Formats: sequence, structure tokens, C-alpha cells
Amino acid sequence: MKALWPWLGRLVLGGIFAYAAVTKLLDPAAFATDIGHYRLLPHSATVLLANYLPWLELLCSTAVLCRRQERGALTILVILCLMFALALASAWIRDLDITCGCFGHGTTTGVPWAMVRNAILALIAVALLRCPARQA
Amino acid sequence: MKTLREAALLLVLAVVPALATGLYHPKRPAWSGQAEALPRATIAQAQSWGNRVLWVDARSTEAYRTGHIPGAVSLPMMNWERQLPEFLQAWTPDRKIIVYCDGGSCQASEEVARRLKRELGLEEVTVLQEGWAAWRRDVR
Repeated sequence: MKALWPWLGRLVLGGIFAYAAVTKLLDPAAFATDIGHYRLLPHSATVLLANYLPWLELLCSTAVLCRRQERGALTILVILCLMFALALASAWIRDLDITCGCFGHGTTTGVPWAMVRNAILALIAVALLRCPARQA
Repeated sequence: MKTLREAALLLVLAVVPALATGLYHPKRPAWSGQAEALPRATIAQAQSWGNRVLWVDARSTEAYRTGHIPGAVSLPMMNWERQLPEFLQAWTPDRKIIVYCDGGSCQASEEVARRLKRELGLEEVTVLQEGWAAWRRDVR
């Protein structure tokens, strides 16, 4: 069981981030709209992020699933989770009535549940980072 | 150090497809500023239009069940496909559509209004200023 969890963690983390990336890549304009709803960035930065972030997520998730450049990918995913947490918390504090935009446009996840899921993903990524390479 | 090198490589690699997305994706976001602003109506304006108004409630189904503007059709983004037939049944070309959500900072009414314009090609779609909160304050 102890040997199994890193594989399971990789599958969950990589799978969820890959899915999130693909749903955003299908409609980057809608994803830009979702980012805009957070009212944190100027429009140009929103557009850049909408084009870049899904690819970064896809590359990192692929790296985690294939175990290539894995520690670098996990580090980026932890940083992304921290950024998402800050954005979600700011939306919550400002009482913005938005969906998180985590899995593309029109997804129904509200901010509190998105924060919980984000924390779980961050914990998995940190746990995998702390995992000795030979065990993982 | 190796971890940082790996991370830097991934960060740089993502730039290439991101550039292609920005240049060639059929649904790429526009650089030219924000989307066109939607017309907004106050409660008083909406009431002056009388029975021509078709209220569209963009809040969640639960919120709609708890209370809504009389005659409003529920059409939240999350139940779009399921609720759309009900909206189409209520809509006629002579009606002015006013979409509302909770009020204040909510975005749902704008999202639904833009989707109605984009997907159904409707012209007269307005957003209720201050939404449900204004209705409760001024009308109920």
C-alpha cells in the first residue's frame, strides 16, 4: 500500500490537471472571461494567462504522469495551487459571485469547494515532492 | 538545482504552444480590451416596460426556488441546456429580456446575457442593475 500511494497520487494529480488543461484549451476566450471575473489582472495579462496557463498545466501534468522532469513539474503545480488559492480567497473575501473557472467555462464549482479541492491537490503535490525518488 | 532547471524548462516549453494558441486558435481571447458593455436597466425602467419584459433569473436553481421576480424564467449557466426550452417557450420577439443575478458584484447575469446574444442571436438583452437585491429592496 505504501508503495502504491505515489502512483495513485500521480494519477490523481496528473489526471485532474490534464483534464483541467484540455477543457480550458478548448475555449481560451471563455477561460479569459473566467479569469477576468476575478478582477485581479489587467485585460492584457488575462489574455496572456488564458493562452499560457492551460499549456503549462498540460505539460506539468504530462511530466508528472510520465515521470519526466517530475520534480520541476511538481514544484510548478504547487506554486500554481498557491496562486489559485490566493485568487480564490480574494474572490471569497470580496464576495464575488463567480464560478472558479478551474475546468473551463460554464463549470459549476463554487469558490469554497474549489478551495478545498485546490488544497487537496497541493497536498498531493507536496507529498510527492517529499517522496524519496527510489520509493516513488 | 536540478528541480529548478526542470521547472524552468517546462515554463519555457509552454511558451511555444501558448504563442500558437494566441495567434491561431479559433477561440483565442481578443487583445482589444473588454467585451462590449451590456445595456443596464434600473427597476424603474424595467417596470415602465410593463408586460413586455421577460425576466431571466441567472442565479442557481436553489436561489430561484427560494424567491424570484414574479414571472421570471430560471436560466442559470450551470443548467443551461436543461432550462433553455423553458426560456424559449416564454420568449417572443416583442419581449425585452432582462437578466438578473444576486446583485452587487455578481457576474452570472452578464454571462447569461452574453450567451443569449451569442448563441441565440438575441438583440434586446439587458442586465438588471443591482439585480435581485434591488428588487427586494425597492419592490417587495
